[in-house]
Amino acid sequence: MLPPILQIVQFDNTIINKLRISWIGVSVSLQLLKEEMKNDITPLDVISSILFYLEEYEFSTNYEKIHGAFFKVKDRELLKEFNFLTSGPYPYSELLENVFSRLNISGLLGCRNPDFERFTIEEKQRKRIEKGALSKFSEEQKKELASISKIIRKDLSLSTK
Amino acid sequence: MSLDNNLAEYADELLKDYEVRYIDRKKIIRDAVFGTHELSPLEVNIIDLPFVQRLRGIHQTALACLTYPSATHNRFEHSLGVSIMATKMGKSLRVDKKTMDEIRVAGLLHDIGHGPFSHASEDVVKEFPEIHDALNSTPSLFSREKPHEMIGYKLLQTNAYQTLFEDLFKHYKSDIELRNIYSMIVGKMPKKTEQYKADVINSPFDADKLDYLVRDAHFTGIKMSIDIERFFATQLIDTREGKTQRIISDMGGVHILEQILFNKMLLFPSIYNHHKVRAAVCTIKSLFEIIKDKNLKINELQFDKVTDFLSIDDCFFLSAKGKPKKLGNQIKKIKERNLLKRALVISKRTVESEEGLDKLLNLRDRPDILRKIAKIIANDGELKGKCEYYDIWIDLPDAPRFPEPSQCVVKITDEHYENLDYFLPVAEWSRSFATNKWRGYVFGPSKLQLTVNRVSQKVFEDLFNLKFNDHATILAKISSYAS
Repeated sequence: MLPPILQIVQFDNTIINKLRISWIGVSVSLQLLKEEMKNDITPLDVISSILFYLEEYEFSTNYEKIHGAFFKVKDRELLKEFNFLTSGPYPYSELLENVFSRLNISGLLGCRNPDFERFTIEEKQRKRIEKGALSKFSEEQKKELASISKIIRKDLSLSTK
Repeated sequence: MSLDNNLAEYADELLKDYEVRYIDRKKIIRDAVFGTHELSPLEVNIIDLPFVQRLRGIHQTALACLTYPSATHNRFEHSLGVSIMATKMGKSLRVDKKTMDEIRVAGLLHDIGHGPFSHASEDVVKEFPEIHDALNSTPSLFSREKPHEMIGYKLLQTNAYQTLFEDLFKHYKSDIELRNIYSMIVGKMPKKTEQYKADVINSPFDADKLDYLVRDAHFTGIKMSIDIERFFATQLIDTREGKTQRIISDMGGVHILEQILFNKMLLFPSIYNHHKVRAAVCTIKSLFEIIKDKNLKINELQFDKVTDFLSIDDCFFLSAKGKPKKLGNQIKKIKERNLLKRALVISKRTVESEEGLDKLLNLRDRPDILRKIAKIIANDGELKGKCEYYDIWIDLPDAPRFPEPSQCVVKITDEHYENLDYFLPVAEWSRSFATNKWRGYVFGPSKLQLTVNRVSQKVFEDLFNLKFNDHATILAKISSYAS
């Protein structure tokens, strides 16, 4: 919608007209982009939503555990963007590591000081995921995410060696 | 066309008139970082190959030389350096002659898959469908982030390259196996008992990393210290029964491994993710974007397939002469160091609340959407007509990854072995350091820093409900001349 001032006043001024067209164009582009993003499920959406379904709010930061756990479920459709290199001592996904780093940066995942041994997702962060990433998934997909979460939960546990 | 066919066609064309010179004398070269190094006649022929010589024209650290004036070292020097490091590692591991020959050659060839400006063009290449297809067909072998390894691996399997190397090996009576060379490049040997050979070239603490850390620090002038000789003295082959024979470290090497990691940790914000270096990377990417958008052809190249990137080096793009105007203008900006400037700094500390930051970071894997946002910023009424969309970039580099400590085994006694992270949680420290030091940027033309700052804040708030604090602007150090 146009700003009220542009609706009321009849402008014949070229500059104002240009501004108005430009404003409408940008506004339409923004709306289209919002729609596009709303339907686009990204790797970060998938991982944060899987973590949402973990019952434990704290889990291991250990690379081997994290990558090993997700490697087990790598063939699930929702995880198709993640490829795991198997040349090292354990399967390792660069994308998964990047996503964890983005979760840290954006504050969706905490890391407890001083020993950095555990990742934490607190209630506030779970709510953010629920409102954001999780809302992009269909009910069917949510069931799939929950089932993946159930599989990896044990592997990510702090007590699992 | 598939990547394999594409590369085969390229290799046939490249080598159809190539005549090997069959040099019969060894050569002694002097490396600025590691000193004197001897190359066998076979190795001299290998470095003389056109696809190895091309590496002389590819800056190791892309346009970091615009920030660090002496960082003009190239992939050719680095490849020699990796070969030197591999030799030292091979000696300390007491490998046999054939393995020594193979790791030396693998060092020379490990970067032949790089395009101009090294990792800067790799960002473009990794989005090509043929790369995605190749990655999906063998997901456990190839790095998603480093397609140059896959390209090098596949190039060496083309008929033209295989014939060339077979002739070379035969002429010099060498028992080198080409399949071992390309396996080393991707870090995985066919046999578990030979994995240590690939570890020399591509593993957590490989010859590649040793060279690039020391070389990049040397040429940028950043002070750094790694006790390399001690590192070599503490590396072993894991000979435990039933285990993959990897390179592991003796207890005495633990603090050297930590040195390597801490240096990697410090070099990232200083060099690779330095805001000016990132701005230059964005300008390089804009060159490829202009070619694509305007459907340009430069010397018959459209840069819409991998092999177009293998046909040229940096120099191709560092001259505006004969290039279409739009492209020429961007090149001129690089030549005159008229780089883009930070207009907004994005980090954990520059946002009012972290809510919304995840939505923006979500787009790291969606470069096309990030470009659409840049277009919206450029088309805003305040900026329209004042700047080009090619001059607005939202840059969200990935934080460095530190999987090394969990991937490296340390031998305590003949019976006791632990991962490096048992001794110190270096990985977690590094991860925490990286995420806290991480910064993304919105870049724009220097004269419009303030406007780009204002418009991008408005757009981010609208799209992600993401609000920034004053530090997002203060840290951008906006020029007093900017509007």
